[in-house]
Amino acid sequence: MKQDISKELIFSHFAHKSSPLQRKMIDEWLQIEANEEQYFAWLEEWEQTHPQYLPQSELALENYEAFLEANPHTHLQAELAASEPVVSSNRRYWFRWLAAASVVLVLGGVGWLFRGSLLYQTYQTAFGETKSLLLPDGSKVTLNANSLLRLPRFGFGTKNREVFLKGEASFSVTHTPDHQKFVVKTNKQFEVVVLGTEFSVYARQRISKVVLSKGKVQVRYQQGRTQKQIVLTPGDLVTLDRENNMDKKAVSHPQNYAAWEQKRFVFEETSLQDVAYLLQENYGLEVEIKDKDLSERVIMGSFRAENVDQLLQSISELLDISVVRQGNRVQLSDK
Amino acid sequence: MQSTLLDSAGDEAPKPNVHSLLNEEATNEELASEKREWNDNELFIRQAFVENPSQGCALLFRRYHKILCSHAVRFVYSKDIAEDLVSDVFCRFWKTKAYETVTSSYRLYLFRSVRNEALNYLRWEFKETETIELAEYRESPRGQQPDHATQYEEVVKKVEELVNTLPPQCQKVFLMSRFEGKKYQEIADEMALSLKTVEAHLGKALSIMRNGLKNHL
Repeated sequence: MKQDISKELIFSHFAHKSSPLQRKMIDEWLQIEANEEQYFAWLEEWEQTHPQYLPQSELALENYEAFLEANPHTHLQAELAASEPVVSSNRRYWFRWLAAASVVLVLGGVGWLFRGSLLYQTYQTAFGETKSLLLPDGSKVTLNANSLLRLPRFGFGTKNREVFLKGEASFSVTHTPDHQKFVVKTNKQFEVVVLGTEFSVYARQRISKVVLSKGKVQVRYQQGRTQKQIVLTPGDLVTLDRENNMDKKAVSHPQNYAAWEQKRFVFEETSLQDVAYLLQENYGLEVEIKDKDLSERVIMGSFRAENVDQLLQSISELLDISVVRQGNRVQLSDK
Repeated sequence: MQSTLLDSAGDEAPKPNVHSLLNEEATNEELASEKREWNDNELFIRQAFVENPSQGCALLFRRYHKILCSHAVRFVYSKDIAEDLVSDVFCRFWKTKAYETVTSSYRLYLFRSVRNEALNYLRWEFKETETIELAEYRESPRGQQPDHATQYEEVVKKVEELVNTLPPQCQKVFLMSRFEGKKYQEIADEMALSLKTVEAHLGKALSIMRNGLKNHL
């Protein structure tokens, strides 16, 4: 086979030195599978000579070998996979779908065509909107702004009580006679398991939080490749950062973390930077704080605001700063 | 013995080529013109899968783990995330018995899976508009998501450019936190900065990444 695309060209492409025309040529060349094989062979060679860092493969290999040993292939694998508690990890949902799909295939063979909207009920709030929901099992959920809750249409309350949350919500969970667990799953590699209780879950990009006001809950989370869990008692606040590093502390007024339910905002030494995050997450505003000192100033107190403009007004008065809003952009600066 | 193994390795198994087996890497160049050259490199691993799949997986891991991590980190800029993504791909490779069905080279399959995972991860992290449905179902590794394979390189290029344009201090904090996985407090101590400053640098870096990647994911 004639080589119309040279290794030099591909290497310069890997080095980000290809022109748009060259990339077009490469894309056309890649339509042929054998060429794609060649592309990845060269990519392997490129990575070998231009490593970004040197991973510790030995430990990873040990983990992998342990995984292989712990997950032998058997005939019952599909059924086992379906009943196995799957770690609530964003990246692991794929497994779950595979497991779910294989069971459905056994049962009927056509079910998977109708997954998605038919199997799940989805509630979603826009920026600045909150919504109260009564779930089929009698539990109450209040969704904060820019959040989403999904639950199965069928079997909820009888088979299991599992919901999926993205964003922030406050839960008041009913206790069932058969002590059925209520599980809040998130795509942030953690889940909350409860029996009957009141708590808030906050699962956004920047950070995740769980605050318990009544009862007892268990937070299961993934750190690295190990699954950990922690039991909360009332007044506990657990935060998980992006790397899922866990921090637990006691707060005196756990209900303040659900103050948004009453359109109240409670700030306890909250930095303006954190308020800016709140404005971004709940109202979709892009907040710019003019200087660093200002972003570190803290706000104390509790006040009511019907909408975001009232909130901005209050912040402006409280800190005596100028707040300029243009559409979705807000500028905070010293007067 | 050897010929039976080769027969059972599947349709894609190349004819035994003793010369290339002996000089796996060295003969890369001269064999480049042969259409199925790519398989020869993996012949031993392919044979291992026939005898003992878990051994085959371990061999594959040994061979590709480092370069796959190095490749994934170009997208996600975090050692931990890159290694998690790569491990997930290998775990799935075993769980789904992908080694039985893959018709391309393992290399192509693994690179493609890791690139898809890395891109999905970036979308999940930096693309605000992603719906929950998408966040929940992960792409099948065979699915070629972008229209063109070179788009992956475009994303890598963009990520690199963005990290390069971060102000020096901000870039340093970003790399310590994200690439090395250091805690905020450790960074603050090491760089003699306040915790708030570290957070502000990271907030800035992430918003630059988010804005910059908006139209590339």
